[in-house]
Amino acid sequence: MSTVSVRYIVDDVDAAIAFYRDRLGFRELMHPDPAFAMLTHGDLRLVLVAPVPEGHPGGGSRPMPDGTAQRPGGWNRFMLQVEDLPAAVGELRTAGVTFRNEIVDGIGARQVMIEDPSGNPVELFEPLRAEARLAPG
Amino acid sequence: MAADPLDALRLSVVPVDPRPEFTAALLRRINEAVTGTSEEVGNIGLVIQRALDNAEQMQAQMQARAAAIDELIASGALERHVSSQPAPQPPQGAPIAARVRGNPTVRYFVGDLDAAIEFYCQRLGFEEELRSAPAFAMLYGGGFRLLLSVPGLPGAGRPLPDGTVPAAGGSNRITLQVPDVTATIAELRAAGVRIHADVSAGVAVRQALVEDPAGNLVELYEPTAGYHERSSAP
Repeated sequence: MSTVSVRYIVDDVDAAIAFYRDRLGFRELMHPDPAFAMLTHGDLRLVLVAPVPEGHPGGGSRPMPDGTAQRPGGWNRFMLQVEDLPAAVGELRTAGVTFRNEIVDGIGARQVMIEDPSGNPVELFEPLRAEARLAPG
Repeated sequence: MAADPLDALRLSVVPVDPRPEFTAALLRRINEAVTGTSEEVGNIGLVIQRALDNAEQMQAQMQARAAAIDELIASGALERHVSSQPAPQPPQGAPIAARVRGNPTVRYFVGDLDAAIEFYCQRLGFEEELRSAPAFAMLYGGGFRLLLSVPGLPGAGRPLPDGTVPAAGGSNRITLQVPDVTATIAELRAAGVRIHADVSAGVAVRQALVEDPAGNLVELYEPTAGYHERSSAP
């Protein structure tokens, strides 16, 4: 039973599905509405929603009570662990994926930020220390 | 750190899927309480019984999951990159060999590290794993590993090559499942938490949005009829 979900706002759900599936290895769980899809990768469930108008049955991407539209972008992101970051970056560059920065060596990991077709960030990291590695299970 | 695990049961949000270590600690603590002084038993009687049942269920789930992963490891399926193995739906193109195991990781930007830690731990039941003040902290909760980074400081908060500095906020968010979202929102509101969007009905869920002290959104949801739960392991 996975209850770990992240919601990303996207302009184009179909384009986002293709990106997360073909570039990052996600699996499509359902896509019952043009404005909604649910993908999965390991223990992470990724909910993709396009902004919908007030009154739309989908509740996750309606405007806020003050009328503000929800939109893609920002800096908060989920992270995916890879075993060889330079190799991953090479593959993604060849595939035409947009990068926000170059590989950065941090304290616990080396990391890089890519963007999905709507401009949402995804961070890829390669652990440099044991504590930064995702524990099995 | 090292707080009484029973405190988690007094929080507004009880993590649905905590770490196995936490579940085990909670179970131990509950057993201690039940077999402890009559005063303590009297204080928490029914709550403990219910929690004991829940904790045992959680532990059983964790053990089942661990066993399944052991099997996968034994079969060699997790030896290398997941995507280099034959998958039920093989991705096209050049997929990234991301290996996502254990707690999915999310990074949030916060201006005030201490305030954010207090919010996630006191209000949402996260546990502090490590704090590298003033720039970084690592929390666990609700099945997530949550990294908090401070914009402008070393680490993930450092500016991009073009000078752009990361910032808190945006619409993307983590979502946490709770048994009764209306009650949870009432408790959080009473505790002074900023409610970004009150409870509303969606498809198969009732949901609401709260803000952390930096203005990042956290979605709380309660499954309703027709809610989809993943039926099998990936």
